[in-house]
Amino acid sequence: MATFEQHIHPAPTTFLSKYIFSFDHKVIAKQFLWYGIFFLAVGGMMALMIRWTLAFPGEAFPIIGTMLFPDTHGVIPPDTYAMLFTMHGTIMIFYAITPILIGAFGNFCIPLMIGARDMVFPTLNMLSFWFAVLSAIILMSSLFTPLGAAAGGWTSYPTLSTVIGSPGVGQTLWALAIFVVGISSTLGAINYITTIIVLRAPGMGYFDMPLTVWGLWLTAILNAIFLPVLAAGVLLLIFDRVFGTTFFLAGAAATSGSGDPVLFQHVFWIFGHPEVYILILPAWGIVSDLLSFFARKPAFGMKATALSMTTITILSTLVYGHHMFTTQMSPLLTQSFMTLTMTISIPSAIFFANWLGTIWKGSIRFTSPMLFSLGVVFVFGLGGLTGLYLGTVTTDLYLHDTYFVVGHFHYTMAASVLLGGFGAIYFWMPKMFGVMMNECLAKVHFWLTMIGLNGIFMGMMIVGYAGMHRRIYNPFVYEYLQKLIPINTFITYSAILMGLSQFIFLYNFIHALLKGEKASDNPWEVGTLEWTIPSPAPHYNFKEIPVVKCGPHEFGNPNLKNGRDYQYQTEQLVEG
Amino acid sequence: MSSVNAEIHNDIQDELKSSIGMTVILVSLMMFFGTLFFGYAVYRFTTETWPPMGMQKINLMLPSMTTIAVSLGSLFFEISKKYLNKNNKIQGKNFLILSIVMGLSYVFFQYLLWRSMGQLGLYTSTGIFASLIYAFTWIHVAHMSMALILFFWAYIALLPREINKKMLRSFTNIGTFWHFLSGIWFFIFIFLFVL
Ligand SMILES: [Cu+2]
Repeated sequence: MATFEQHIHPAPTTFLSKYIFSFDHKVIAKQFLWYGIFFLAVGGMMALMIRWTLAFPGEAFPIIGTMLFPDTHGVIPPDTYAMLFTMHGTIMIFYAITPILIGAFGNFCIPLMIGARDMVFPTLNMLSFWFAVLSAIILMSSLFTPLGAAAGGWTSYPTLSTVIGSPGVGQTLWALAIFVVGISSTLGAINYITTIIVLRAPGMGYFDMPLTVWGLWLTAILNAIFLPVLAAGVLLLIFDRVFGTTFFLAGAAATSGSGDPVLFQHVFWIFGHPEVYILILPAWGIVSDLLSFFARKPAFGMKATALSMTTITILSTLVYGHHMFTTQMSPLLTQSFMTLTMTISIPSAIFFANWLGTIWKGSIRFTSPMLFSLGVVFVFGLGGLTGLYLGTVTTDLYLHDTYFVVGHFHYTMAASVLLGGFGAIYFWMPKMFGVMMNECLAKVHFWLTMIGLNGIFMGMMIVGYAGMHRRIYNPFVYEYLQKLIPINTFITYSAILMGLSQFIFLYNFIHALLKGEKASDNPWEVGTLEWTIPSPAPHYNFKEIPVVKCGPHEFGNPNLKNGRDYQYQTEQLVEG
Repeated sequence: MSSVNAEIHNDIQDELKSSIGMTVILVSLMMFFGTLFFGYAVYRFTTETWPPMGMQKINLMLPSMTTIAVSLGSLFFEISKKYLNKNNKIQGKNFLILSIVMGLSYVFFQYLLWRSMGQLGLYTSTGIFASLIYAFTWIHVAHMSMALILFFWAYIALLPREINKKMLRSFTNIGTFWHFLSGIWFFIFIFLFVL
């Protein structure tokens, strides 16, 4: 591996160049982190409003309800309800999870973990953040338009999302915002892919990269390939809405040639299924590393883990049809998609077994990042297994569009990614900001979040299995669903518990920033490259570009004589 | 490492960096246009007669002129690059101007196409046949405008610089972007106008 001469740039001095238009990957990472946490709060608030409506239909939303919905004395109106679940999904996926895991930790971890001074294209990196800001402004401004924000679901299927279904400008702004956020993520992806190929420290082969970097790399590749697909779809949707083209309008075929609403579903899911992996791969990578770090054992079958993640990435491009079993596809197609989907269980099972292999007989340190990682193992296991029922045609026909689906994808995408993200925040906090967060509060945060989210998503799967459909304002107008009111109330209380416990995190986070205990250079005793430099990381990262001599998970080597149970990646592997 | 060595070394790295970055961009764009063509195929195969009843094919004159303009733009740019490689700035500049002229005439021909379609009674809302032609040409013009801005930038900012590897690399990347769009136009020409 050749070295790349990377200059040490002088530290920026003005406020603007230091904090606003910064080229430094660490500053951009923090910008994305703040941005993501802000939208996590917004999206979370929306989730609480949805839950409130389902548990207590017709009752005013507490505290802020009368302020937000004065016309109905605080009760959430039906059209607002549709807007809420649409914006909740959109915000959580593109404006909370993506910026936190990919924007913040992608930016922060990639250069530090591969021993580089910055990303390869710092300007693109900055642009990526500011495109994301622009997109967020467009999306949020749609809330203040006359007919409100988009209300056709985060999938925005036509005809709901055409001018017939959503006459307001909100849906157009939604499509525009998605297009712009797509540009932002694609710019980021160009940077991540190139940086990892070009800037790895001398001596670092691909299998010497921490699995976090592997996850982020695969995510970036998927982003670069599939975001443009969505971009093309929403662009045509914009044309339909603004210029009156007829791509997604079914019409009189013989006279003018027909548009095709289902085509949007195809395009959406060609992107949408890989998007699931775009969101989960960074969390998988982070968890694979953290499990090894805190079990004080080398990651079990690390190469196999990396290769299974790669296999899943490739397979994820071939299975999108399982979202569309109910669109009258030919049985030949549904069965092919089903078989391909089931194939994904093979690599998934391999790396899941590797996770268990990593913690097996380890000397586990139950720190907060480890607790969150173990949480991911649990919730992802559940989420993955329930996916099998949705990937199977026969069971999916019954479960399609029920709360079972909502429970399933929240287990995989929301719960796993959220827990992984929190684990990452607790773990890299010392290197990011130079301070430690309070461990005790972090553990309380973990347990309350864990209890809350299992209450929510397990409950959702139960009501979904009982036949409750998603996206209905008041499902209890149907008699057969009325007996599900108690479970729905339970889900809502769980959601309130989970929501409230996030204040513990916020307090802990802000308290640590303001007067947290100063972190040592390597508080977790881990050997990857970012822990060889001071905390917080200096603006040039590495004074000397490090030379890598061993893998990222060298723990518990019996030949180590220096009193440590781990080796830095810059050290020669000690042999007996 | 001696400084000469280091320079050569850096050069290889710069080359690598720029070619990987460019590859990713082109893959992204390919997926973008690929999705559009996928949509086209679906519409085309699900409609019994093409163009749909009551509509006629677009006269090939303007699209052919457009094809010639983009191809000549590509060709002139390559010639310009060749001269720059031989350190001949004057000829390099002349051919860059020629390719800019080709770019501008491309935009002009597209404008004429939209006008002629209006005269045929083909508006954006006339149905999928017109929708496809409008959307593909709009999107292509938007991308070509970016390429054209890059041509201008090459003229204003790159040409005055000293000719070296770095400058030529930027020049090559701009050219690659244009050639890629010429290729896309070729597909648009065949699928939307000829077939
Ligand atoms: Cu899927």
